[in-house]
Amino acid sequence: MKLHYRTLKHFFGLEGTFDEYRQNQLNKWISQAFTWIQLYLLIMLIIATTLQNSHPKLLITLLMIGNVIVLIAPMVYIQRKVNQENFNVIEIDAKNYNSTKQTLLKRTHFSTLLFFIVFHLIASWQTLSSNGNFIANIFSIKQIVTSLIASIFFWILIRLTSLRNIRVVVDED
Amino acid sequence: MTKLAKEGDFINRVKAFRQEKKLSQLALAEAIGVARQTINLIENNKYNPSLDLCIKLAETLDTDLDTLFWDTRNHT
Repeated sequence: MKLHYRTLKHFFGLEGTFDEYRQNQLNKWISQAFTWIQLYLLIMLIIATTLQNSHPKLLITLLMIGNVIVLIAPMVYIQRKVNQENFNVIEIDAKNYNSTKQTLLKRTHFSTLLFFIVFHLIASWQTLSSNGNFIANIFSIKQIVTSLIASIFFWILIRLTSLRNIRVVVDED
Repeated sequence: MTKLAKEGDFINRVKAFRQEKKLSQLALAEAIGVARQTINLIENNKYNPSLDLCIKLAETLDTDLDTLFWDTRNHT
């Protein structure tokens, strides 16, 4: 599989084979999202041209809010479509149910470990202003406990989501 | 003159051949490397597969493209 599709598959949490139908659908949704982004850029260009001299501060605020929305909205839109089409569902035979659950448990552990490392590093870096030493922050008990609690919630969320997405299939007519 | 089939009114015999071979949708999907949902969509005429996928389907179901996909009612 191309790196492009492999990245998209992991980014949007697609399960199973990423076949031609799924690739076509994902490309369609991305194109739709891109069209809306283009429209946003056009509207923002008109607004910026109009407000640049009279209300520069308002313009910057509008641009910041607009950019955040445009950054998040396409991802939410595509994720919603992925959920609607059940692309995130793990379809299995009944006999593979337990082994799939075990595989998912291992994946959950690994994801939680990654989450803990990233969360802990970012949180330690963010609290630099209150305690000037990054290394001290990393080994701070308070920081470690905070990261552990966040990771436990993350583990529960991922575990519940992955268990919900397992589906024992029978042929649909 | 051939009439082009519109999406939705095209009849294929994938389901009949699959059942004849006693394959589940999941087994057929795994055999040709697609998702089970894609097989379901093809069987229900909601997705027109690529030629590459049609050939894989025909090979796996031990038939040919004409038998699997040619609709004699619309093509003379």
